Amino acid sequence: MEEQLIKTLKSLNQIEPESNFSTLLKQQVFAAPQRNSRLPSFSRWALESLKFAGALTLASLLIFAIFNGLLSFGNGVRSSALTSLNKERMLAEAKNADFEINLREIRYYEHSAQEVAAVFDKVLENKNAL
Amino acid sequence: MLYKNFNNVVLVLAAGILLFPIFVLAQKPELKGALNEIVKIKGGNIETPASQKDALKKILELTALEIKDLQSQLNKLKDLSADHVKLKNQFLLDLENYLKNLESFNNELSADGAILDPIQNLAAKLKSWRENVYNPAAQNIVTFLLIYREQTILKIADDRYDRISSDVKKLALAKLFETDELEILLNEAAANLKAAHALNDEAKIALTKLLESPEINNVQNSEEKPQLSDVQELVKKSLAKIKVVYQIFFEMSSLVKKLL
Repeated sequence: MEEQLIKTLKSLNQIEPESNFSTLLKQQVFAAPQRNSRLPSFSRWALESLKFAGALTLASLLIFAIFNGLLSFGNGVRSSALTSLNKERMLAEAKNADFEINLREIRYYEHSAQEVAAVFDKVLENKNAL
Repeated sequence: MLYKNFNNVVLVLAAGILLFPIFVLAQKPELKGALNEIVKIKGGNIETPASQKDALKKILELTALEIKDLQSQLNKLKDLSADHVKLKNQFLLDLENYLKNLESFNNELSADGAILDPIQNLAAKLKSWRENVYNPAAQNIVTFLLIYREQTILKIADDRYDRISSDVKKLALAKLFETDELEILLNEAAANLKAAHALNDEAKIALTKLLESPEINNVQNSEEKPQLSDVQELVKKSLAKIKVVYQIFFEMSSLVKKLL
């Protein structure tokens, strides 16, 4: 009984797949996407985690930069508006432009002409008195 | 806060003082000094030949200083139109001739042995020259200078307007607050600035018409000739518009400070 069983098992050892099936299977195996199976599973996990952390950091940096950019744009606009509408600067500008100096000049020449004419009149008064 | 408000009030008051007429006469110390001498002489006794000679000497000195001042101011003028370059050169030539006239009056005055009558004759000649030749020319030149100086003021105001306008656009884009009120004020400033330019241009044309040589004008159109006072009035009006523009800018400044 025991001998019979060993004999049957040995005969099963000689079973082989059909040659067509073996070719088809090889083709399917090579067509399947390849995975790097050289790395142990822990290293693969660590690499994936690192990739995720990197992506997260980059995204955070990007959000920070955009937010900061908007904020500094707002601040820039604020400070720029304050510069162009700076009262002290405008006052200095108006002082340099000196709106009145020109009008004063006209008045100066009028005044000078009047004073000089009065002196002439006084000098000529004596001539008439003579 | 109280300090800030006080500061703003001081600034607005300072702007008000600066932007409204200040009736101060002579602006240059040497001119002021020479004119003060004349005022003193007018108030004193000028009955003797020596005092009369001195009075005429002082008048000649003052006139020479005024002529040199006008020459220096004309030489500083920039960006003149072709017509006005000619006019400026004519003015400079006239002033040079006036200096020669003064030199000749001075020689007459310095002549030894001058007695009372020749001094008084010289006074009459000098008076006539000042009233008929020099004074009208000086007023024309001062008005001409005024128009071009105002042009410089207009350029400064234009530049300030452009900067404020660009910032108001940026503020509107940043949507930090409603900019409607600022835009209304800006439009008001633009309208006043435009009017100031138009009045300055009108003054330039009027002065050119006024100074056109009399031979070109016939009797009919001489009535249409503007008076020098009309030209000065146009410049005064233009300057008044620029003052309004700056008052609006000050108002905008206060508004932006309140909103930011």
